[in-house]
Amino acid sequence: MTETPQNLSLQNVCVDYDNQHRALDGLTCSFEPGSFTALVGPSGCGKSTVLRTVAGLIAPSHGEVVGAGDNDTGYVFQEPTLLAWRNVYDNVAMPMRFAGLSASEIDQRVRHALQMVGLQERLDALPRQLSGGMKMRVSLARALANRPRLLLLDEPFAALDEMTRMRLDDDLRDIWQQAKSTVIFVTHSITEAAYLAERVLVMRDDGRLVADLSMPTRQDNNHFRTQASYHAACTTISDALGHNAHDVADSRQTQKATD
Amino acid sequence: MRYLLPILVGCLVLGFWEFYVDYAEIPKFVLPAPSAIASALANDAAGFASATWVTLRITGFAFFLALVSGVGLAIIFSRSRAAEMAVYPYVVTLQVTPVVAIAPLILIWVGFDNVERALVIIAWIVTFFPMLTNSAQGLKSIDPQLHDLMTLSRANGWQRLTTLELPAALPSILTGAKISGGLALIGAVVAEFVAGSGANTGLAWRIIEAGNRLEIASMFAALLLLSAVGIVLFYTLSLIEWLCLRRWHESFR
Repeated sequence: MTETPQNLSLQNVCVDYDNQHRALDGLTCSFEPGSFTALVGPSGCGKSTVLRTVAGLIAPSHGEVVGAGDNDTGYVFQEPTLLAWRNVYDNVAMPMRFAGLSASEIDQRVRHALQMVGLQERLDALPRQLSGGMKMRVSLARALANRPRLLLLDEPFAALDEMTRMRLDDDLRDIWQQAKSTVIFVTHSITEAAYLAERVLVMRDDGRLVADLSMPTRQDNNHFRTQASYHAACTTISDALGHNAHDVADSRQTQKATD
Repeated sequence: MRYLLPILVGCLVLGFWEFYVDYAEIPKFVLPAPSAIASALANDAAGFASATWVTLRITGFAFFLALVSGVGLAIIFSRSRAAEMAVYPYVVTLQVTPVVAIAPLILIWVGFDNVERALVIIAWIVTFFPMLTNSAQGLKSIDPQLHDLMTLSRANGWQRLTTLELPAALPSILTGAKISGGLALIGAVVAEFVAGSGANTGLAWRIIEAGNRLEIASMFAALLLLSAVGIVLFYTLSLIEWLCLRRWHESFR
C-alpha cells in the first residue's frame, strides 16, 4: 500500500470511555483513496467507535486520525436518522444548506443524489410515508449529496429485510463505483462484508484488529454470490472471527493473571 | 353523535334544573334557575364582558410569559448541565410553595402601583413549571444520532436549535402549553381572589363581590364565563397542536 498525504490513516488510536473502559486499543490501519473496506466483528467490539472516531465525533484518547477532513465526510447511521417534519428534499438538502451552498447548486446535487438511490420521484414525501428501505435510501442520498471523499456507513442495512438489504448492497456498490469515494462499511454480517468489500478488517471483542483480509477481485458482478471465490471469502472471514473466540478467552485469562 | 350526546345531556340537566327550582321553590340565593342566570348575564352584559376581558388579559400575559420563560430556560438547561443543577432546585421551590402564600409578598413588592402586574406574576408562577418541565423533557428526548448528524453537518448553535431542537421538542412543548393554558386561568383566578383586582374588575372578583351580596345568579354567570374562557383556551391550543403536528407526528397518524 502506497502512502500518500491524502491517505486516511489511524495511528495507534485508543479510545477510552469514562476513563476506564477501553473501546479501541491501539488501532493502526490506513485506507487507500477510493477503496471499499468492510469492518466486521462481534457486536460491542468497537466497530462503531472506529467510525465515530474517524468522523471526529469522538476524540481518541491516544494516537491520531490523519487525513479525515470533516467537510468531505458522509456518514450513514444505523437508523435512517431523518427529520420527521421535513420532506425528502429538505432532509437531503439540510447539510448543504448549513454549508452555505447556493440554492441552485443544492437543487442540482439533491436531485442527482436522489436519482442515484432511485428516489427522484419522492421529493415531497415525508419520512413517515416511506418504507424502511426507502428511508435508508434517503439517508444514503443525504450522505452522498455533498460528494464526500470519505463515506462512512455504520451497519446501515442491518434493520432491513433480506431482500431489501441485498438490493441496497448492489446499489451501494454501483454508487461507490460512480462516486469513487473511500468507503468504510461497518457490519456484523460476514456475507455482506464478503459481498461488498475489497478488503475486510476483522475486529475482536477487546477493540483490536485481528485480521486484514483482501477480498478476491470479482469477474462477474451479477453472479458473485454463487461463485466459489465468494464462499471462500466468507469462510476466510469466519475463520478470522472464529479464532477470535479463543484469543479473547486467552487474553482474559492473562489479564486476570496480571491483575 | 360525538356532539349531539353531550348537548342532549346538557339540555336535559338544564331542563330538570329549571323545573326543580320552580317546583321545590328553592330560594334564588341558594340555587337560581338557569333562566335567572341567563338574565343576570344579559342585564349586565357590558360589565361581564369587561370582567372577562380583564381575566383573559391576565391569563394571556401569564401564559405568554410562561411560554417564553419555560422554553427559554429549558433551552439553557439543555445546553448547560451546570445551569440546570444551579437553578433547578429554586424552580422546584417556587413551584412547591403554595402560590396563595407568596401572593401577599408579591403584592407588596410590585402590586401597590400596579395590581395587574402582580396578578400576572402570581398567575405566571402557577403556569411556568409544566411549561419548563415539558419543554426540558422534549429537548432531552431528542435522538442523540440526530444531534450527531447536526455535528457532522457542522450546524451552528442557532441552526441546531431551529432545525432540530425546537421542531423535535414541539410535541412536548405543546403538551406543556395545553396544561399551562388551563393553569394560567386558575392562576389568574387565584391571584384575583387573593389580591383583588385593583381598578379593573375580573371575573374572579365578580364572583366574590356577587357572593357577598348574595347575588347567586351573578356568581353562576361569572363561573359560566370562566368555564367558557377555559374551554376556548384549551381548544385553541389543541387546534394549534393539530395544525403544527398533524402532517408528521405519530400522535396524528
